[in-house]
Amino acid sequence: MRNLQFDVINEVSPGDKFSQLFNKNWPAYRAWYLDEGEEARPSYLECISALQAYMPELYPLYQDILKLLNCDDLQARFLSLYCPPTFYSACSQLIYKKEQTALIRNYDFPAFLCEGTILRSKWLDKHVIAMADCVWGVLDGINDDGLAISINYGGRLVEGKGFGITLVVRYILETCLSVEDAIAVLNRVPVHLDYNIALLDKHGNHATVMIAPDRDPLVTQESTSTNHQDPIETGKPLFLKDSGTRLEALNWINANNETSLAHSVTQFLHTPLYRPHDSNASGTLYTAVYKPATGHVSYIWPQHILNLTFDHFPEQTLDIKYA
Amino acid sequence: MSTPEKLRGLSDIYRFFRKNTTPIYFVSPTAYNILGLGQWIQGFKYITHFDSFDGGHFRVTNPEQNTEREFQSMEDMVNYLLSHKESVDLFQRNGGKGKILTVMFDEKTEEIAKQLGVDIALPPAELRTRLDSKIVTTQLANEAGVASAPNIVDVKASSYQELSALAAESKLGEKLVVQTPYGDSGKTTYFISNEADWDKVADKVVGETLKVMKYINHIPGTVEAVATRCGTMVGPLQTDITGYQELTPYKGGWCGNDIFPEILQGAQRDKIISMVKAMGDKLYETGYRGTFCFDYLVDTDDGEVYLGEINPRISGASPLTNLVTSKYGGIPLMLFHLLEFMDVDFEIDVDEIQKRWSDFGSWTQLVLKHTTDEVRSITKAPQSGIWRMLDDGNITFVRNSIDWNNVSDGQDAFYIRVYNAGDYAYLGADMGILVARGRMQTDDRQLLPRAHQWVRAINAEFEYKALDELEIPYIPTDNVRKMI
Repeated sequence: MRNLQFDVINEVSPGDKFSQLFNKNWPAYRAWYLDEGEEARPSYLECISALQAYMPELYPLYQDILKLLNCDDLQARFLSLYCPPTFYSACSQLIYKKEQTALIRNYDFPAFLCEGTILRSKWLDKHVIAMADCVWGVLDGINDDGLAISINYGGRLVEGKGFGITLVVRYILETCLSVEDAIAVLNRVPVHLDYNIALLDKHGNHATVMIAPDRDPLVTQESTSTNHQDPIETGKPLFLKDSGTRLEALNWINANNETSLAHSVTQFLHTPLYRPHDSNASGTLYTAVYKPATGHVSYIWPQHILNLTFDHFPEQTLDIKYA
Repeated sequence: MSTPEKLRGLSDIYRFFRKNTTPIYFVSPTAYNILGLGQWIQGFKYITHFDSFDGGHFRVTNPEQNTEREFQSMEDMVNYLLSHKESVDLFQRNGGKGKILTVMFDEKTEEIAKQLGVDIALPPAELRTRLDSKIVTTQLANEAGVASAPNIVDVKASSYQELSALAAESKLGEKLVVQTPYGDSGKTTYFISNEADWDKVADKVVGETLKVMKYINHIPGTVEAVATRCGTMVGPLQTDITGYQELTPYKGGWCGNDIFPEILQGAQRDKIISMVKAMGDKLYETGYRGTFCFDYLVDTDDGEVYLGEINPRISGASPLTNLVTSKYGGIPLMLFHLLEFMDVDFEIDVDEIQKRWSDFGSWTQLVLKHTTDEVRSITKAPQSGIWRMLDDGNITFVRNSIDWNNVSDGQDAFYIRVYNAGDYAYLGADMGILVARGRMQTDDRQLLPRAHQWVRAINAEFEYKALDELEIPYIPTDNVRKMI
């Protein structure tokens, strides 16, 4: 697939628009969820027990969504995102802190596996703008308390018992005020694969947290991350071979005091950070720029730019063609 | 705070179950084993895999299986059912507490129950597993003074010569019955009289701990009993219906029971009842409480009675037991099992209650297995309810019914459907069960003509479609085929 439709959707509480999103995406998610057979996935009881134990604030919302969608057992288990099948992605992240602060990231993934939904909501007590995944999960996003977050796959090919990261990101955006709060969540909630999480809040605090199912989170002050974690273990392949190259490119941007935010963002539209679709299975699908201090959000493509805020959020559809 | 009442006598027990709102769930492939208990117990529900009633039974929930799944065992299926969203929602709607009954369960089930906040109203899995061993049972019975057919237990043999030497030492004769510790339906019982017999089953017995018995000409029977704090209550004796080729593909396999008042009168009957009582009391001493099934053997050569084996669970003997004890004796045996697990104190005269169950009408149940060794897709299956046998030997559906209480006369029978159109039929599958008045087997263990008629007529209600080569359905393992 060489093009993707991005829908900008504004819905305060899960309702008709949310239902449509779910119904549109369910056939594909069902196939993915059953990839290794139904019995490979945890039971509904295990799913809700884990949700209640680790993300209790989300549980009533989860139940409301099940009611709204009239979910059966399988759909409910999928939506809990507890021990889902594996999913790997690429991505590059930069926490920019110069004349202003921003979280910039490229999301690299096969286009047919991306929902292309930008959703503004207020499900609990915070307004959230986020790029949706697994319908109610989040790939990257920001809340109106000024916390921005995005994820990179960590590249270690380990699997464990835990949640799909995108639900944990949703949980952080719904419940956390600051980087510190988010780190506490990442320390507490198990995830099923390894990820590098970029965090930036409106006070300019930042962290890159390396999480994995088999070891304690490593909280760093790094501003850059791609698809590997330290220490790099020999014999274990990185998921994407250009992970090191991209990290160098990010570090170069970060080290150069002259690089403006606009210039930094531009770098994300060029190789090696931009991964063209004709030469990569996981090509770059969008560049996201979150500015927690002002609540500005931009989604950027080589030929398009979409600027949004919590107050200015016009619903629209964008057709993006990838080279 | 008021002191909880102590139940004394039947009126108290009736009232207790009528008013008690604790939800009690029977979780199993089908509702058959304790169908009808809801008449006594306000909070009774069934959670089953098979939909026998087309949604027409208000106490039955069938959690929808959204996709193919291969169950490895009945325990696996029970655990799946309990963890399913529809069950969890049901538990929650009913207040989140309650008791679970089932036929088979394991340690995982116990964990699930804990997570659900419900109790399993059965002895712990670990104890059940231990007691399920034919070897442990025999040893416990010996301690209780309950005789088994002449045997040696806890032995091993790696060749026919070793086996014969062991048998000779204990004077068991030439014709031997060899059992491995676990298993049912005659599938782990081997008849060995010579080296050729041995060779046929050697791979199944070598390396196993064995029970070796003298072969006796016998009538096998079953009786369900309940071990309680007030003593052991013994239900009516049943004969076993086993091994008929038109009902089961398994040699010696169980395929039903007859229950009739004339069975084993006098000293033999008294002896069996006292053996069951002694066994129940012994089980209670070991920490086991509640229902169990006692299989007995009557030696047809000398009239001696023996323990065959114990099934420490709700079993295939439960339906006829509950039917007769309630219909003629005013209270189903299973209520006493539940009392043991209901957080209520009770004091009952066990013998007095048991006396109520001495006079009753004859009933029978037939389990109809698929006996054709060919996997086929079912396109039509008989529905659950009351069927009538016509004079010409054909049957006709009379009316829907959710249990056997309204089987009016000898021409009628209640059929509970297990496999339905859309399911696959394969060798050994329990297709459905028939409950009728009267007997299906003669004293000398021949199927009566009416049994042949019913089996043929029910089987004729099924229609099948051959599978094309590309369709390879999931065929349950032996562990799951037996659904009751």
